[in-house]
Amino acid sequence: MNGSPTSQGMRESALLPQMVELIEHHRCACPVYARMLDAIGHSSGRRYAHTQELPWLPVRLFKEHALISTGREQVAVLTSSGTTGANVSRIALDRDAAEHQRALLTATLTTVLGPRRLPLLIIDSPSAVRRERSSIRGATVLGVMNVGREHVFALDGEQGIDATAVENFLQRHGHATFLIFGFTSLVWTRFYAFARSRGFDLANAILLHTGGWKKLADLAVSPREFRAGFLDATGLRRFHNFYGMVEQGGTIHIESASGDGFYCPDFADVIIRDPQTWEEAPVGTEGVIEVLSAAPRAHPGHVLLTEDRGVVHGIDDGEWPGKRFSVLGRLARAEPRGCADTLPETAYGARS
Amino acid sequence: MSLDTRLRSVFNTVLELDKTVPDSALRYQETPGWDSLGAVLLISSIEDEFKVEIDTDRALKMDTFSGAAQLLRDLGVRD
Repeated sequence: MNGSPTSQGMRESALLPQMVELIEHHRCACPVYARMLDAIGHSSGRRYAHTQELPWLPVRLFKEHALISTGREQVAVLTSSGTTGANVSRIALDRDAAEHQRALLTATLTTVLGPRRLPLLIIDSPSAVRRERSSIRGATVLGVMNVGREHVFALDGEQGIDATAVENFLQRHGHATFLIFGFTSLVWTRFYAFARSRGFDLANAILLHTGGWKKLADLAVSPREFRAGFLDATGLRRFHNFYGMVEQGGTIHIESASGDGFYCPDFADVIIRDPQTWEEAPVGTEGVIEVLSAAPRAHPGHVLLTEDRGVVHGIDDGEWPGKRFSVLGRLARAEPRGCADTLPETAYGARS
Repeated sequence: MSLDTRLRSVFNTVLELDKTVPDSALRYQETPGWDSLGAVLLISSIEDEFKVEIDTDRALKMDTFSGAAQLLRDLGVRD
């Protein structure tokens, strides 16, 4: 997408030198990262022919260690949405990194939304961008607000629907293209039933949503049911789910309009790995999602093994060039604990 | 009222600025309040005040007071 690489091969060729440069940058800037690379046989000077060979870090490392590659003043520490304090990633950002993330997120969103900022109904409460700004939730809402205008929050301080605010918004903006954004579980549990009961016409809406797949799975709602539910009840037909994580802020993998999978932005890629061999899994085969992004410079989050299961459905055969993939859920059992001494060597990406 | 005066008034209200701070000192991420949330609120208030629409790219690049004033002139707002 973004119009640049016209094939997966071109993407990988363009990405490889950027990723190698980033590895060297983080090796110099983050001594802990450098020691980890040395320990797994990725010492300085090693050459890489493919992005699949690059050493990855398990995402859980960021929940247990402060990995920082910037000596500059940190303007924010972003946290993930984990349920316990011990299970939260803390990502330090300097000013450049924060700005870079904002620019990348916005650029990716404009590829599907166009250059105009659309009226935006946010399925969240105003406190998300005030009290909880350092959480990934707040930062994401704030990031999306950049592509919207005349923002209205649909939830009140108690996370209940603010019916008047929603109705006023739709009365004012419902006749032309407008944007709805929220976390998937909030959109479904707070907004869907309300919209259905009021008989809202959302045919002009573009629904942008992210995260919350686990909560949705708990509610036994599949992506297909989610879309069908909205279409039947409200006429809403344009959906863009997106996938990202606090450890790679600003890098989002966005779903095409047809819903044929998530696609990577130009500066990123995914590799699905077989959890037995750690080799790349063939198209159509489930595995663990590794995410690569040329964006992170303030912390070594450029090649990460996530704790999510996924599958690549096809390569260069969909709406945009590159891989199209789905996120199937979280790994069933507790994943690598993240400390170097408890992880099998291969889990860091070392090849024998 | 001149464009700059009207614009400064929007800045003062949204960012709760000290009126003695000169226009030339107003910069994104340096002026207190003009952070990422402040930027979003500022763009919305400028659109309201001047009845213009600012696209995503221009909104993101607006990082000084003079830049904001120039942006409005580019959009056809008269002094």
